[in-house]
Amino acid sequence: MTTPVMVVTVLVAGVITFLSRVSFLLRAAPAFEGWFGRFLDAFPVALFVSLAVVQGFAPDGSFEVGPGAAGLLVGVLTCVFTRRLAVVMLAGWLAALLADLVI
Amino acid sequence: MVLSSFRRGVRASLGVNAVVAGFGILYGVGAVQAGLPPLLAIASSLVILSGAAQFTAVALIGAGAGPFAVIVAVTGLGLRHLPMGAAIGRLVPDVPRAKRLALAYVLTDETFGLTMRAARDGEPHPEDFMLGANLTLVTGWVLGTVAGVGFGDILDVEALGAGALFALLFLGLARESMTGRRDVYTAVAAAGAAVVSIFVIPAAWRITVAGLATAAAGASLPPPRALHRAPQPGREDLA
Repeated sequence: MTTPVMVVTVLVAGVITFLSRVSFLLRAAPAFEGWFGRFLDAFPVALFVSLAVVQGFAPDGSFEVGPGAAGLLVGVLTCVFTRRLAVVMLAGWLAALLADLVI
Repeated sequence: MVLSSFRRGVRASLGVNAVVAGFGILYGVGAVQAGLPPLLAIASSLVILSGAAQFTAVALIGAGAGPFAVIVAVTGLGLRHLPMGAAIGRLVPDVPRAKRLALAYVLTDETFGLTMRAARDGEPHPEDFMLGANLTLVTGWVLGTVAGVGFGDILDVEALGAGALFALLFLGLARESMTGRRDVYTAVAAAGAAVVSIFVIPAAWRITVAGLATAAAGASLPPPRALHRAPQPGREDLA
């Protein structure tokens, strides 16, 4: 890909990303009752868990059980006892570093 | 603007955005290695401002993919912003359009999670809280990219487990978003859907498909009273 094509690609990607972000934000939103309201309630957990699992088990695109997955599993165990973000991250990160030394 | 809310957003996001800055370094290194000119790599962090989209784009460019493939992948990843925008929109019904545009520019997974949590905890001005969180995120992401582009050969953040930290960041945000058993069911279903997606869905679409499908399934569950005929007070709270 030449540099001018890269520049255009980045600009188009930026426009698409911004449009997806602004679509439901530009006007005052309704309360979204009913099914869509429940969908929006469930969406944050669904999104974050999907992000964590895909990043933890397929950091390079293919499924792998590496240090990141070990850290994620310890993080999940930590979640049983606390909901503090820093504690979950610290416990999982230490486990990932330890797994990296062992594996 | 309510400065106290803005400052709370800045404070709440500092730790998270330290991780984001580390990932920005990884992105800067990866972008240059993929063939992006240094200035374009930095500009992309300002224009796209989405780690998932940018990492996918540079991976495709580095692999020799054409612009159409990059745009399709970015579109797939960007679809998750639609319900994110709707969810934030519910929190800010009376905000002027200019501020809405500013909120939308930096509607990222991290600031979305922090803002939803703050609103749930009673933040009176989530729009100003989010602007504060957004400011630190943009700063961390762009400065991280600059550092990665300029000093990537001497900054080895991957050896410090930056990749694992990013997964843990989202796990922690998920945990903070969970308030009841329905969320536990949703989390378990999302984990299963995400694992399956790794095997059957192209990389750029996994997060969007798994997240949207699981949220749709969660929304279709019977109301809480039907799930638990005799709920005990306080049992819904996990904390």
